[in-house]
Amino acid sequence: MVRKIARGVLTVASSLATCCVLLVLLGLLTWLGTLEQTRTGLFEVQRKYFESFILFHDFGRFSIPLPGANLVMCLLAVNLAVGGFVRIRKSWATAGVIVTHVGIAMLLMSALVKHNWSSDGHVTLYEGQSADHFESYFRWELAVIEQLDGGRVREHLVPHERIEEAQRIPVSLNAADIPFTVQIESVSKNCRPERAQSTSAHGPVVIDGVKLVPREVDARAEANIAGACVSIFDEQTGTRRRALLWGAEAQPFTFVAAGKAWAVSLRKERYAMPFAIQLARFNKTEHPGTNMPRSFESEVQVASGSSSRDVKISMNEPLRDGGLVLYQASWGPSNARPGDRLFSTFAVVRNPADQWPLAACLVIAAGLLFHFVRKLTRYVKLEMRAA
Amino acid sequence: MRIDAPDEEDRVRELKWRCAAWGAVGACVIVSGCAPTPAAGTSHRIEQSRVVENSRIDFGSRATHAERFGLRGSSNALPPVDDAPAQQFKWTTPKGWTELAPATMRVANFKPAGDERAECYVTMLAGDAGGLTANINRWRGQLSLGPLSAAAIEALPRATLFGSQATLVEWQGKWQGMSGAEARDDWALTGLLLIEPAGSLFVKMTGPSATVAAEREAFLAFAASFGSGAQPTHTSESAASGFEFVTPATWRRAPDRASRALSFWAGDGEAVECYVTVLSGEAGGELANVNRWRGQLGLAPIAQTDLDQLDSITLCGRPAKIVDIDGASGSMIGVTCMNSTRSVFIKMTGPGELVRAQRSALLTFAASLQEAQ
Repeated sequence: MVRKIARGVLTVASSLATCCVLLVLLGLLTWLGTLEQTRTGLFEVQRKYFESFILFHDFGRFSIPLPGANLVMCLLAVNLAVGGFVRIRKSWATAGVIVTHVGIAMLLMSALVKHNWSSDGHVTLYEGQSADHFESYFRWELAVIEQLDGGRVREHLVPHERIEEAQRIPVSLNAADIPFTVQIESVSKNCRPERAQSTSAHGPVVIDGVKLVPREVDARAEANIAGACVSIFDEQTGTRRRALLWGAEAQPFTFVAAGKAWAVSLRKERYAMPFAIQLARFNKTEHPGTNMPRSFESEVQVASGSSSRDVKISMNEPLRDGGLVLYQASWGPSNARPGDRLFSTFAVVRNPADQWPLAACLVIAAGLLFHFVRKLTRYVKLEMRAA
Repeated sequence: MRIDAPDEEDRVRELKWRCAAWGAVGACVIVSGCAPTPAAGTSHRIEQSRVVENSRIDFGSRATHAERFGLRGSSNALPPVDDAPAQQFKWTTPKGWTELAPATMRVANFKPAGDERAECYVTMLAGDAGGLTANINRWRGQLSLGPLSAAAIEALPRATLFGSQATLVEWQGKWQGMSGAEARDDWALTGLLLIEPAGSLFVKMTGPSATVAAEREAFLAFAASFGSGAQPTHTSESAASGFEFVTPATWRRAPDRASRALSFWAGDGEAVECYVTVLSGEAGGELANVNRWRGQLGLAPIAQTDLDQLDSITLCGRPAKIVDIDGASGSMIGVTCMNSTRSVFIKMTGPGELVRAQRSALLTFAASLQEAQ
């Protein structure tokens, strides 16, 4: 009885019909997710439709449960493994199909690696500026910064997860080489600074005549600007400082503790790049008679160690180096006048599986080519025999 | 008599129950008092740290919260250089309105009185930004209204903005927002459009109809007060200078001196001096000049790679390096613009704290400096 059930499950799991249903579901999710993106942001759609196991899609008044793309792809991987590798008949006749399945498995693997082990963000440079790190679009970090000599600083970094935790309860932070304790008293996911006279009983904290007023959280995660109220307690002197930190602040909060200069900043998470990039020049051309850009490209200098090279990054020609891909994303200021200094923004992706889809497509193409050529030659042979 | 005995037992039993109940309550109170409450928070060690070279943090700035957040109107505000357009304007904020930090595309940003959802902001775009008709009909689309004909647009009333007569629009409708994704009934838009071939200015107030109607006069007063915040552009009288520039509000001209095209005192008193020098050719090279400046403040020379790392701005239409030098006897900020035919140098010197306070003004001045036609 158990064997019978197991065999039935195995048959369904490995069937071509199951595969077709799953592929149709993937297509449906892509379509619905794309439509949803016109109402909410990319981040929210990604989370709801593609990183979930189950979701509820709103059709007018009704909410219909659907499997999330995460679940569908897991089932597709099982279907592929059982049907495409284990149960498939192994012979020269199916060799091309098996190779094609290997290519599809590589595609699924690249999606898994991208989802779990990639990081993405952006770097924005004015002409002449350089950077050796890029910033996340929506992950925040608290940096406790110690001034060293020669223009160097040591950054003690508190990750995004702690900032999120502080939205619920106060979070105290310390380290062996920091002579004070930082407590994140409160965090707002999206807020703006305003002038204020005094703190009301239930309103935001007012420090130095300024308060951070919470705003409705934007579905486009990158549009939110977080803020925090922190207190810095120096146990040696018994002094406590309070400060407001805002994600778009022009300068961090600075102070002196134990005879050293310190700063605290709330900012987007920063990731080090294995090279420095300097924007030498930004070029854009407009459609005649309009302000609409026809094309734009950045001339950059990529420096690593003692060597440097000149590279052009344009809309369809990214820079690939050191496991990173830098795409030309946007530019500004949008209201720049002729001769104004321009900036260029690059979308940066660190994806260990960046080139896997290309390899997977080549494997799939090879498998299909082998399969169809073999079919064709067999057909030609049969026709010749019949003749 | 048998009735009395159970009464006594009941009373004792009841007393025992009461004692037990109160004991349990007391124990709960004690236990809950000893246990950590969620509001007490959590504690973590900071695990990750790294050393970063060439930090741009000004540890000595002691900026106020308003200055750090870019809220204008504060004393000694140090707005970032990239917000230069916002500094070109001045206005009177209506009573009850809250000034917000400038945002992308918005050179001035407010929350009008009356409703949290209302907003008012000023946008400046290059050129005619698509023209009056296109912009008016784009705004009407945001309110779910159909386009207006050219004749209807021509008949729209006018109001003062930036010292000129701008087109005034006042509509109500269902707000769809800029993306078309919002849906807010009984919404209103009051706006002014000043469109010129060289540049266009838009002031737009949106919010619930009642709020927008109540703030109409404040809006018009604000628009009328909106004007240029910069000092008039001075064309140097000195034939040797040959520059056009905008003098920062806290600067004043110092007497001309030989070898200097322009001289200023920055801030109060004469402690901080700023001057422009023009030399033919590359004047010995950028690195040599920077190291000469460093030597004047008792600092060791730097290498070309260090110089290449410095920030740049546009000066006279060409890229120029910004050189910050802090020595024991004072500070210096220089801007070097090298050219094979003629090189321009701006140099500001004085006590460290005062020089740093004038840095933003110096960069604004440098950005405005143009060679006279």
